[in-house]
Amino acid sequence: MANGTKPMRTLGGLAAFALPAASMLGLLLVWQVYTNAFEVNHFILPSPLRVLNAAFGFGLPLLGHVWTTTYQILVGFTVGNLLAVIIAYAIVQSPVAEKLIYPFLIVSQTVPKLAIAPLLVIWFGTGLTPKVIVIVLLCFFPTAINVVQGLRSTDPSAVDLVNLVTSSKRTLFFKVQFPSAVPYFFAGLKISMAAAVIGSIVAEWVSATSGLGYLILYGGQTMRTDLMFVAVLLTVVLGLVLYGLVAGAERLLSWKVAEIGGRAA
Amino acid sequence: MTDSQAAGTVPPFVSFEDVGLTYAAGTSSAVEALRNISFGVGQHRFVSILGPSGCGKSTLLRLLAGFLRPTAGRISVGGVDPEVARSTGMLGVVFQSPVLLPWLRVIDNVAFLLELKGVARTEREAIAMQFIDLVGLRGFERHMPYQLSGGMQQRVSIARALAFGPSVLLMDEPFGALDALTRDRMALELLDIWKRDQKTVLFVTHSVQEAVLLSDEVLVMSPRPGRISVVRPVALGRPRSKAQRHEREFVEHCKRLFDDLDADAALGV
Repeated sequence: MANGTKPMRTLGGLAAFALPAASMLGLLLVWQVYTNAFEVNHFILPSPLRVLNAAFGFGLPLLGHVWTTTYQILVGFTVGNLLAVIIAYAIVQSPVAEKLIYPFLIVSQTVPKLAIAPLLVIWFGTGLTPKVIVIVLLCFFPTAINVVQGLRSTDPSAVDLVNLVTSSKRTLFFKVQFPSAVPYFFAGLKISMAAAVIGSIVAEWVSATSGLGYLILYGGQTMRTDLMFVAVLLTVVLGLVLYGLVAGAERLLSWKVAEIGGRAA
Repeated sequence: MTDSQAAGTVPPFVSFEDVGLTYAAGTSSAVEALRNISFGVGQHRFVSILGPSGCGKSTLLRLLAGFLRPTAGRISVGGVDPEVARSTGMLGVVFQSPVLLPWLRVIDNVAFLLELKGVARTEREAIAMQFIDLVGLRGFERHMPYQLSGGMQQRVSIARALAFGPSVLLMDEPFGALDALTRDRMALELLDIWKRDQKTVLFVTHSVQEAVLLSDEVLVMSPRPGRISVVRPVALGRPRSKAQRHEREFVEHCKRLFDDLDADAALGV
């Protein structure tokens, strides 16, 4: 029993990785065969090989565009989620804060981000700031809502338990409330990361001179469908990598819920 | 377990004097939860609080733990106020559910209260190991709570309460969520632990057999408002065993308590 009993997994590690990879490769293969067999105009739909060729043809500057978008996402994601945790903490600690903050939370979600992006350009120029604001607006909400729920999910008996030793609110927060909310925090982070990628692309469409969103627009304006595909696929890969990083952090840092006798009715 | 304690010549370790609790007192929505509760529990005694759901058993325990303040009367634990008793670490609590922190290993869960108290890591882990041993979980100290069965989780929670070194152990239907077989085994194990690790125990339950099997004395409660209707001593020898439950004396004790509960129910309706 030294290693403990792990819950049964439906798939082995290899199959869990190999099956999605196989389905992706299958899609690329069908795509390639289809464009060859039906001689599809590459302006309408370039084949995967042509897209790959375009990527190499574009060369190193491509990495610059990837970095622009990645940097925006990382800054926006960090700021947005810090904000989310602070807002969630305030909401849970004080009913007054909750009443004051909630309207803004709801409004921030009903405002169409694409519609205010041009406004942000007028206010903040064409630099990093308006893009980061769009990303922050998109990605703080899922985390804030999840962390509020997580902090409120603390078992009241666990609060009693801490009170047996100390009445310190700080101890209670760091030893029980925050750890209780960690799985909720990561659930929020994952949605938030997906939203941040969309936010970055959308923000670049309004005004940008670099980035994957910019590259998509540039490809469209110069009739380079293959370049648009390069940018879209790189966005997908970037999204997967960033999401994977969050999921990996979750595996390292989060905990599993007790399934038996965890909380009696 | 001396005779002098049983006879009550020593002042009780835990005492309730005319304790009452009314929620929202003085308003139209006032609810009287407890009325005229008076009893005493001698040191190292095992006392059960028996009653139907909603009679205020758990509320009584929360008063004793200082989580609630009575609106009438006086409670004392070891000669001091419950809140003082709690802040000096005299009280241990075992809840109905194990309330383990799912992100901590068994050993860290058992040592959790000591950690909050500021006991150094090596020292608190040594203490925790001692009590993990006592509840029969040696070899599981590095497991996570989700890897344990319900009964094992509840043992961890008992070890945690004991490792804190309280003189009074408050147990709120600790075996309520377990299946019948595990429940019986745990009850007898609890008696072993209690014998080795002398504590004053207040044990809330709604099971008559459990109350008789474990206790020196049973306080029978009746609802609306919660009060103690009768106090029954359990005149059975120790150590207690599973086989005893079919003996005449045991059955008679149970029957008397069932009658007490029935009488209350008849009055209550």
